[in-house]
Amino acid sequence: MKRFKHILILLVALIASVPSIANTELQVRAEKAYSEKKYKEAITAYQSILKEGAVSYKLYYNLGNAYYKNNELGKAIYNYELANKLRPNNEDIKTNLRIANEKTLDDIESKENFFLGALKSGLVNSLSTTGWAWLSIGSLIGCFALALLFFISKNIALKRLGFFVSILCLISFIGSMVLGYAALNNKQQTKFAIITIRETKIHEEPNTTSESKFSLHEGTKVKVLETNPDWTNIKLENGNEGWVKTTEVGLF
Amino acid sequence: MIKRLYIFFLFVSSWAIAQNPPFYSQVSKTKVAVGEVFQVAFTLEGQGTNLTYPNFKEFNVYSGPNQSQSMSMVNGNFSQSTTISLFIAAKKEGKFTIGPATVMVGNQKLETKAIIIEAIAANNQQQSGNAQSNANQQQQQTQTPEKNQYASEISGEDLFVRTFLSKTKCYLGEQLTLTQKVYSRVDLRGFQNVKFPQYNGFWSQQEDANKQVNLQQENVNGVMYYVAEYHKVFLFPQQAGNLTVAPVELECIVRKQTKRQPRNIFEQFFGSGGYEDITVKVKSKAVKVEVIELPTEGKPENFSGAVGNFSYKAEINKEQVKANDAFNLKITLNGKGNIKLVEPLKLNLPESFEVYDPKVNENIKTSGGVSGSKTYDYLIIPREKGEYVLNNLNFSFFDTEKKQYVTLPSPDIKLTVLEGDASSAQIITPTKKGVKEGENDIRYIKTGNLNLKKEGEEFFSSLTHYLLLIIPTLLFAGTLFAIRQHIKANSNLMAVRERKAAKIAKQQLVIAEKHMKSNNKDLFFTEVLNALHKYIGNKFGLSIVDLSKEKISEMLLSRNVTDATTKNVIETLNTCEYAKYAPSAVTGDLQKVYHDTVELISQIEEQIKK
Repeated sequence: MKRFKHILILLVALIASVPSIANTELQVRAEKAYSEKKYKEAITAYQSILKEGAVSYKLYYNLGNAYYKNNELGKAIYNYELANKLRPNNEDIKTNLRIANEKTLDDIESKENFFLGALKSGLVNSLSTTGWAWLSIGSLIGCFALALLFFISKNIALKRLGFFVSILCLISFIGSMVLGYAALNNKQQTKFAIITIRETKIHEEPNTTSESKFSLHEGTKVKVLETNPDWTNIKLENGNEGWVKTTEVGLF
Repeated sequence: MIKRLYIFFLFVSSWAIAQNPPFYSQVSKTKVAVGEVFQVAFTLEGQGTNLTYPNFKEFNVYSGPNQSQSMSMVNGNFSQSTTISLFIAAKKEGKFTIGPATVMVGNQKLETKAIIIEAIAANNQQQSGNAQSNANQQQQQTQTPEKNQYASEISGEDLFVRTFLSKTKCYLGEQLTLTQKVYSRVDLRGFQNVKFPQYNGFWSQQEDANKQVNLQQENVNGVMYYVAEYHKVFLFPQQAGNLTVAPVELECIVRKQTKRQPRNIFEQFFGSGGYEDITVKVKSKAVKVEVIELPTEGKPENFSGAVGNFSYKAEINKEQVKANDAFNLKITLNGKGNIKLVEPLKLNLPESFEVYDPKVNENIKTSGGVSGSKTYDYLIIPREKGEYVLNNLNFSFFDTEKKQYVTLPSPDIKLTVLEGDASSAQIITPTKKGVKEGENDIRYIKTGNLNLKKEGEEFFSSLTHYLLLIIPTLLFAGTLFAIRQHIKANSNLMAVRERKAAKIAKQQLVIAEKHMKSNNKDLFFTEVLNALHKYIGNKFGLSIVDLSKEKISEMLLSRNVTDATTKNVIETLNTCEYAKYAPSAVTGDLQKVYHDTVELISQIEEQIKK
């Protein structure tokens, strides 16, 4: 038993320490480069953290900043969007994304029902998936605790309180699970793409010989209908559709 | 007689043409001073191809080869001639040969004769040289009869166009003067079909177009020419680099003496028959100019592209204005240069001032350079009251003479804005500008712990998440089950106790009976009381502690036991208690108490069952 405990502690320590030691070093290097305005170095350092398979919204945010400062608008916006996906409704991400988006060239008129769409995405994105998970756990425990109060208590007022609050907690639990799944779906599905090169041609068919319908510029956000390693079928907010090379966009 | 004469002249003229080779070379002088410019011309009558002319190694070529063509119709005879001419000068003293020029006419190759030029030492006095050359020319014309013909031909020397540009190197936006002059030694009557070039890369302003063209005399290399300045334009380069002013083409109308005889006595008398107006096409050469960018060093922030020399004035029409009422700011520019191209000034006015696009008035003169005045009339509406000093209206221009930027400071314009009427503020809605966003640059990166996670790691719907949901559920279910079990168990016990209540009571009473028989009063009453208490306790699920008399009567009544029975129970209990604590005071029959108790229990049993 004692030996098992030792092994467990060792394992936990290993898991916790290995990535964090290497990343701290890279992170310090990246932060130093950024503050010295050597943005290319900062990009390389942050990229290597990513290559180790570690992610966080802060990492994407910082990488986005480095790209922005290095005048790579498309990649900057792409990384901000990735950060935003991990942590919706963060003020810093939203501000930088807005500033970056002001610099994009394409102005596409939106035909979507803005109000309803915004309401729905606003609700789903009001918490991160982890937030929804914790809310669901809390709600369920609260629901059970108050249900027990209802069953055990002999005081009628307490019983009544227990009953109603327990029902509220149940609703909150169901809601957090539904919205959490929606948020998870949003996060895992490839729904959008950002143009990451200065200018790209949008083709009628997924091949270079087909006619190019129009061109899009760096930083423009488009909807993704279908994607494969070579070509991605995109749809603009104004309804136009076309194919773009997958290497020329950032999918998220 | 006259007919005969005609025929004679016809013969003569045809003989003359036959004598003259269709391709020949001529020089204006055969004896020249070193450095003296003279003309070489190769003339082809008719049409030919592959015209080559000799090289001029021993000479400096000043101009050319210039090509000029002339066509003439004389008495229905169409003739065309092409002349290539060069202005050259000998490099040193000596005899030089100008080699033959060749041309292909049909299949025939024609060659001109070589010409020998004798160059002598340069004359010290240019004037006398010129005079000499003039004299030479006169001599040549008089000496050789066939040269007369040359004089009547329109060669490049007799008529040419020159383009003058005031500068060959200038700043962007600096004014250049381009003059086109026609030089003529023939009787120039006028111009037609003048094709002005597109001044690409320039903004051009022509000098008054309706100007009369005056002929002036000018001495070019000792030759007197009539000079007509027929086109003058002011150019402002709009781009840096080497710019080319394309050549101009025009047709000159030249009056020429015809060789034919007057047709009749009247013509002979008035002399009108001996002249002919012919048109000659002339083309100038392209001119190059090097345009350099304005220096970036010391470039004022509010520089609006003005190049030249300007003065500046700014004034407002009111010194006091109510908020939301308009006033005018008039800015007047005066001066020489590219005034037409000056962009409206950027006004640095306080935030609360709403500025509308200015009305622009120009008054521009083009005589002797572009100059004039330009006024910008700005309509401005102040939105907030206060005392303002508008002193930020400087005007800057680039002075081409001093080669530096000059900033003219604006006078301090004082303006008092009074409290405005509320109504006028509503009429003009000040919603032009939104709330100014303070942030223009992105926020700084996040430092500190980045909270890195493994990629793809997701808490929601993970095993941990589900476990954390399932464990409370199980706990809850377990607790609920335990509570239920407990309640169930409790309720079972009660039923048993209820069922057995009477039996237990009877057992207790049996013990009481024994004490009755041994006449042990104290113990008897204790046992009876015990029996009753136990019975009621078991029957109604009450613990011994809860057994107050009020509670007992309440319980009995609530379970449909009659008032009388209840009363008896309480009475019996009282009797027993009293007897228990004071056994000696009890006088009653023990037997009766015993029977009453038994009777009461059976009564309660019956009444509850109902």
